[in-house]
Amino acid sequence: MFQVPRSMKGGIANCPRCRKIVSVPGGPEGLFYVLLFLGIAVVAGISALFFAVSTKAGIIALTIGCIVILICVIAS
Amino acid sequence: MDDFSDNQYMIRRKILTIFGAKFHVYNNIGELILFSKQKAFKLKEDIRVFADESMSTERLVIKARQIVDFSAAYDIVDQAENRKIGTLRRKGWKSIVRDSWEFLSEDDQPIAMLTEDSMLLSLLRRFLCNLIPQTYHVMQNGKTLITYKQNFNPFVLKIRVSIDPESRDIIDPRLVLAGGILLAAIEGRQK
Repeated sequence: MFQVPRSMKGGIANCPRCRKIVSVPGGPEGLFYVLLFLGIAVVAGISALFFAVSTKAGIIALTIGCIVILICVIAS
Repeated sequence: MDDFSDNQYMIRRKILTIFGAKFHVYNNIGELILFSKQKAFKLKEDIRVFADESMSTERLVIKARQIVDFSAAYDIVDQAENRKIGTLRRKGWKSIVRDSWEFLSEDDQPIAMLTEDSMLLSLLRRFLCNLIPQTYHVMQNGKTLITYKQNFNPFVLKIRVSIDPESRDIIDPRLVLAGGILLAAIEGRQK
């Protein structure tokens, strides 16, 4: 066990004893999951509104929303 | 370290790749010293850099600490030594108007700062025409250690890397080349 700066969470550190690389657990993934949750909530909300008008419109809105979220995740 | 004794390198990014990207790094006399194939659709960036196109000998690993690239830090590992040689951290907010990165030592201490050449040109590139070639300077205490200069070519991204011989004790040349690959991969994609 050895201490590393907080900023190195989720990254890689050199072990001071064996001089080999070790993964540092954790990481600032919170922002990613918050944004993903918000994106899903917005898509679900908009799709629900379209579903109220017609099922076909709801399915189209949901499909487009899912594609947009997928593109955003890939491009993140 | 023998392959990295030159002070001039050329990084070439193949644009016409359907998914992902390919990077070639040449030394001063035009010999291929590094090759990388960036995988597309990878949630957390993990770029493997090989000695040549056969991809049999892995030289460097560029691994993101987080999924979102906005202010991501990328650890650079030398596979032969199995040792982290440093980190490059993108300054997300600053990079909105002018690309800015930090070179960090293996224990996350700032070594030098990389910035786009001028505020005026960076704004012109963002809001008028992104065909204006980019130049980046890596500076420490007001002294330029490394220069990354993009050639004007809309079809092939070429970055010429110039290392000040005196800076070799400050920044590892492997970190410099990993930085060049990241600039071509990440900043290229942001645009």
